[in-house]
Amino acid sequence: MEKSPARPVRARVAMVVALAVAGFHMIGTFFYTAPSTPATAEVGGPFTAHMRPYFGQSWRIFAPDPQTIDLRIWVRAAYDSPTGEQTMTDWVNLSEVFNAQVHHAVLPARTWRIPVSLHRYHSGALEDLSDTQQAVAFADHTGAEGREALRDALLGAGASVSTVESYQRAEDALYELGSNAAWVLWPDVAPGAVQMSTSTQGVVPFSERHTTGVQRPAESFVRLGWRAPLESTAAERAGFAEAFGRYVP
Amino acid sequence: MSTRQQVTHSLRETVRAGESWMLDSRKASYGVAVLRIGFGAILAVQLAVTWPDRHLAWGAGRSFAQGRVDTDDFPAALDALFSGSSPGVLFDLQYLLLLALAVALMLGWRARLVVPLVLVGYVALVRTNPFIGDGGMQLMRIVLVYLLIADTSGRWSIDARRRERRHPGESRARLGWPGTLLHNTAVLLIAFQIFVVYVASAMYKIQGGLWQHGSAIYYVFQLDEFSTWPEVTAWLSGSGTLITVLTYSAVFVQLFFPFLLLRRGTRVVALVAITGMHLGIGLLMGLMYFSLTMIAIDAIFVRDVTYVTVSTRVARWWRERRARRRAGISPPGAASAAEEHRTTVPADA
Repeated sequence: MEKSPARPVRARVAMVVALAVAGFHMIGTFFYTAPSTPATAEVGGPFTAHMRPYFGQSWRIFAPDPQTIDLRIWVRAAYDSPTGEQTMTDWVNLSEVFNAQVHHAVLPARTWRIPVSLHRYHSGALEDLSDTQQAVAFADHTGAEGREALRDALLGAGASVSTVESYQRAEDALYELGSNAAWVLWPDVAPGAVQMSTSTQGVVPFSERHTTGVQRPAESFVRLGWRAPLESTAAERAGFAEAFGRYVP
Repeated sequence: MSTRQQVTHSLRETVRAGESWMLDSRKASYGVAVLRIGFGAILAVQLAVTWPDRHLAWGAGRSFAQGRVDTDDFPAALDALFSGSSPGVLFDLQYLLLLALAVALMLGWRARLVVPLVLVGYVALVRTNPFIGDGGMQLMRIVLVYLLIADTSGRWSIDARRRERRHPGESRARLGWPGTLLHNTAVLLIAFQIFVVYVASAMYKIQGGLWQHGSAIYYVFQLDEFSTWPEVTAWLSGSGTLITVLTYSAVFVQLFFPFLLLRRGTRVVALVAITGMHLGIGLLMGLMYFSLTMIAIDAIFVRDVTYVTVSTRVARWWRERRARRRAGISPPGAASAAEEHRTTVPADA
């Protein structure tokens, strides 16, 4: 029998320690990423405590089923015309503007999926509101005090402080993107208010893909209320416009 | 030998083989080099391509994302590097510095210092806009953490060349057994991480009706956000058989990936199939950075001896080609015997 090479004891001890630490982390990675099981609830906790933020991950890629709807975000603005009349712009599909950036691109710029992520983020927060609270979000809250008015109305409709905060965080993200886009889309007017809408549209089902004249299901809109344009600094607006201005056809 | 003795013997042999694997040589030394080169290149290309859009992606123009940054789990100290609100010129300089570090990572220059710097810079940059992100970004962050303890520039790097010049033949002994132990632990962690990615995504998929039905890929192809080449995906979607084959093979290749690696024959099949899958996804769905990140990590599963053989052949072909060009004629096989002599294969490969 071949004799094992002379190895310092400390090398063996270090190896055991390294494998123990790696093993612990592997079990943590397993629990953190695997579909939730009774074992995750019972013993998973201590193994996964260290996973966030550096080892945070999710591998539900197109699963359990891939998304079968397009997620879009839309913006329009209201402004006073030179004659003093309240005028509204047409709706603009921001997702289309961003998506065009990846069309026929092998190595696209990293910005193109922002509207889809923002749609998911906002929809998630909106779903946490009850029907009455959602009605508050669908109503108009314009003017300088609009944000506070929305907050008070949501609290008045029974939403908890943390729910209101997380909803407003999501809505602010959506409206700030919309406001910055509005400055670029309608450079000749000063928007007094902006309105955002999200939409979803299903695709032609697989079984009907060869059917002559088949149409996609109708697009379904979630129309939020009018808000005052979100204040951003000149640098923020310029940073946004520099890239977005090139996207706009 | 009694059964008990046999069991003890085979246990002892297993432990010895394990010890030897962990402590005697640095595993996947070329694979880890390819991973390092790949990560450096992927990051550098991403940053270069996004340069005209950088302020909207990660600079002042991404102010709409600040609410999410304020409530994330990352240490606020990262703001010192990229806060998303630094003046444009300072942001540009930091951005270019990260790009330069990515190139240094690719070249394997001062890797022990560059790997941690790239990790911190990358996390700080990407954190400023959580609306931009995919599995590739998550994986690059996680694997960069593991690379902190790996010997990433042992091969095919400026570091390796410099060491070879200064101390010919001694490059393998750097940091001794502790360095080897840490490197091999990193290799284990990276391998496990990629197994988790594949097996977990497959396990989530097999719960889904559309994956079972064999039409999931069709639906992905229909979405605006993944319609990078609508002409191609429309053509692919025409054939139900093709869609089913693509759907099922995506699930099976991922689910069985770790097991297919166990034997050489199936390993080649697995690596070719998974690389093809990644390139397809990357090209047709605009997810090239994600795909290239996965391919770079999968590179650790190619054996060192394969890298050495391939690189030796490529080097020989290149020298012959140059020699022929210089001579202006092409004597068949004239250069190859001499070149064969000059090519050295590392003893541990």
